[in-house]
Amino acid sequence: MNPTEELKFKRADGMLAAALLLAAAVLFTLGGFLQQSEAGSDKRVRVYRDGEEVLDAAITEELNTPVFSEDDGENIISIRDGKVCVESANCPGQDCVKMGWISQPGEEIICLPHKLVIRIEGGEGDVDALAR
Amino acid sequence: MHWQGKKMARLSLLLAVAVLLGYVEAVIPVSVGVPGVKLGLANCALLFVLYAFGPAEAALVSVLRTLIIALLFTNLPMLIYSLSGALMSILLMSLIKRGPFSIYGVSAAGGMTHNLTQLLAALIVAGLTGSTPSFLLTYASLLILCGMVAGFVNAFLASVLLQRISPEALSGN
Ligand SMILES: [Zn+2]
Repeated sequence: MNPTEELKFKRADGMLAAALLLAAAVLFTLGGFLQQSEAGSDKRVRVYRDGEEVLDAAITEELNTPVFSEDDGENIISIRDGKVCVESANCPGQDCVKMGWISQPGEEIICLPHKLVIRIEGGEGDVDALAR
Repeated sequence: MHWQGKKMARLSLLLAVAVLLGYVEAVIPVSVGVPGVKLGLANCALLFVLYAFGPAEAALVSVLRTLIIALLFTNLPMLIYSLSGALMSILLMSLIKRGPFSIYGVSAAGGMTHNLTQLLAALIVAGLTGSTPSFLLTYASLLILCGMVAGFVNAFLASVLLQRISPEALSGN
């Protein structure tokens, strides 16, 4: 066999490439579908200040943002790996920070001094949404 | 005897090149944003050995390269990943080479197998902790894609080398 013949791109190589592309596309699509079901689909983090919605974010996001309230109140809200917490706050008592991470629909972190409610809404297990 | 000595010298030289290419890539990583995905320039040297010498010689160089890299630059536990990847890769490349494929198909299959075997070994050794099935599927698809592209690049480089350097000068007397 002519050795240089082995060094040129052949029809079989193209077919192999097409097969690999197809396999990659199938795996990628499957992965996307699975991720949707894993993420509990459409869970959202909503923050209310004195009853008024001030933040609405998907729980799948990566977010670290301050939420301001009256009298220079500040709560740093952190969303990561499908969980949310108040990372730090300048409220007396620090109850909101001590509550740690929440991830299930219906769970809440409340900062009374700042009149702040951080709630996870949506998703399949959201009993509160049905009752409301 | 004389011939064997010459062959060993040439293979040693290619082994050194393969190690060096792996080292260069470790020092100057060309990241494509997917962890664990590299161009695998050393594969270019392996392809050269596979086509200029043969499967046995390529396997020998591949295993030695992996051992040297592991001893010099990485920790030994990593050896099980890289060694399984290297072995599976060279095995599949030798098989594919017998088929209707050119160096491009061989290289693409090799690069892809290397990546996938490493992922598989990591799963078996480290367990499935922390990785969701969706992540693994998506990751595997990226490994296939990147392995293929990298394989084609390496095949092109190796084919240029193989055409410039006559095989007789290497494997002959
Ligand atoms: Zn508070």
